[in-house]
Amino acid sequence: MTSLQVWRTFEPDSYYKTFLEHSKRPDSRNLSSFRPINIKVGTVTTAEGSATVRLGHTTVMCGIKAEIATPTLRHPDEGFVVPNVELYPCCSPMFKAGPPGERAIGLSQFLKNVITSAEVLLPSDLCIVPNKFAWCLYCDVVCLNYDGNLYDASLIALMAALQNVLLPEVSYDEESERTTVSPEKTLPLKLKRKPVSSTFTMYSESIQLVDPTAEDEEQGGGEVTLVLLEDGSLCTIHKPGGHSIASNFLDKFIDLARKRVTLVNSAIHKAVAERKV
Amino acid sequence: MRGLNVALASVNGPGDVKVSNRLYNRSHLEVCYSPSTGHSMIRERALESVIMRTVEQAILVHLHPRTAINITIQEMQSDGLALSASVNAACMALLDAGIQMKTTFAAVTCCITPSGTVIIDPTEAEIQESVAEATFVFESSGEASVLTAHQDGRLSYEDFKKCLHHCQVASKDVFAFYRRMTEKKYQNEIES
Repeated sequence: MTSLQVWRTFEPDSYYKTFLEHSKRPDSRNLSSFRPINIKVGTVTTAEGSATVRLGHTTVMCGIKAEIATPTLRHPDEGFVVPNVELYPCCSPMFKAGPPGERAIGLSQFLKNVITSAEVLLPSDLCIVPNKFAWCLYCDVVCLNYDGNLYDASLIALMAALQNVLLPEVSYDEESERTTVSPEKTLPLKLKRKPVSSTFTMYSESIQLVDPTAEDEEQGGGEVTLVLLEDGSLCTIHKPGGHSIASNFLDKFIDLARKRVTLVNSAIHKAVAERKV
Repeated sequence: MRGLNVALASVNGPGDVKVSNRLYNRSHLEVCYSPSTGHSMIRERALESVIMRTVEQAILVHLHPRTAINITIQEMQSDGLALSASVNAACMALLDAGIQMKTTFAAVTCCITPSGTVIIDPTEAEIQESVAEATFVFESSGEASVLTAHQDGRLSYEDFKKCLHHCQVASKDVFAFYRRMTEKKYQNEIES
């Protein structure tokens, strides 16, 4: 074991702090640079839509299955989008087997909030026959390798998978009350907006790191996630506790986050286009 | 109690903790949130997580190693301010329990209408009509730094800053309320 590795194992705090004093991270990134994104769409052939996203070492896969469900009485012409995040023990020693833990549930709720706030998909677009049939999209997001920043990775995976979804055409005959599903005729979803999130972790009052790895998250004191739309407006801000921060905390990040929106959306667009070829 | 929102919070601790949750250098925090109607679903579990992380920053957890502090919040009535009523109730319960905290914290919710007006402590109906809703939890220090922030809906960054500023001003009322209530409580004790 080299002396550097010894230092890292026995004194992780001082090892990390020394890097930050030179405004760098152990993986040689600057404090405000993002990791490269790798998106592959259509990776799960049995799902209606799927995507696998790599953000550095963090690997997240999203599969979307569509089922026909009955709309609720309160909203008879609306379908459902049900995001569900699973963090299995295979991706990190932090997660145990069993029912979803705090983190997985927080992520699922975050994805639901983003889809609702941004109005990514109009629930009425998922309706087939009001009061009778509507599409229910089960979006399962699975983390395959955890190296920090699950918020960004899961949202990118979800958005890429949604753009890959092809729903079969359903025709309903009122007289005979029969539904026919034609699997050959498939239609993509109409996505109104494409939100992109940017997360940063607060190490101290003055040091914030963008796109944290697992080590950054462990050393830091909490994450802040900003979700922006293509027109630069804010869609969701999520800061669940963590170190307190001054009220102008987002000024520094709003520009970085805006640039990221165009970058991520063009990466997703490229991946979806590649798949179609 | 804020308008028609009522949340009941109780704090137990620092007390016994399961061996699996025992931490050598700090107290283990657990928040249990029960909604007024229906079962506890992912929305409630997510709320518990946010409240727990907020409270974790305020309590001096390192003073009570190998113990657990349980905060139980029962939502009695909800009119849109579930998160802020629960957080404020939790703070008052912690003050009442006498658990050492480095700061008190106050939650304020606001919503912004399509015409750009910011409404503090909106009702459920006002939230439905609004374009965006935001909840902030502030510390009681001088500059009122932000402990927790949660925003839903679509709004521009300038509108967001406006909401933040209005909530910051409103939080002073909440801190004044805490002070009044604590003074009243101890005044009664001194007199009796």
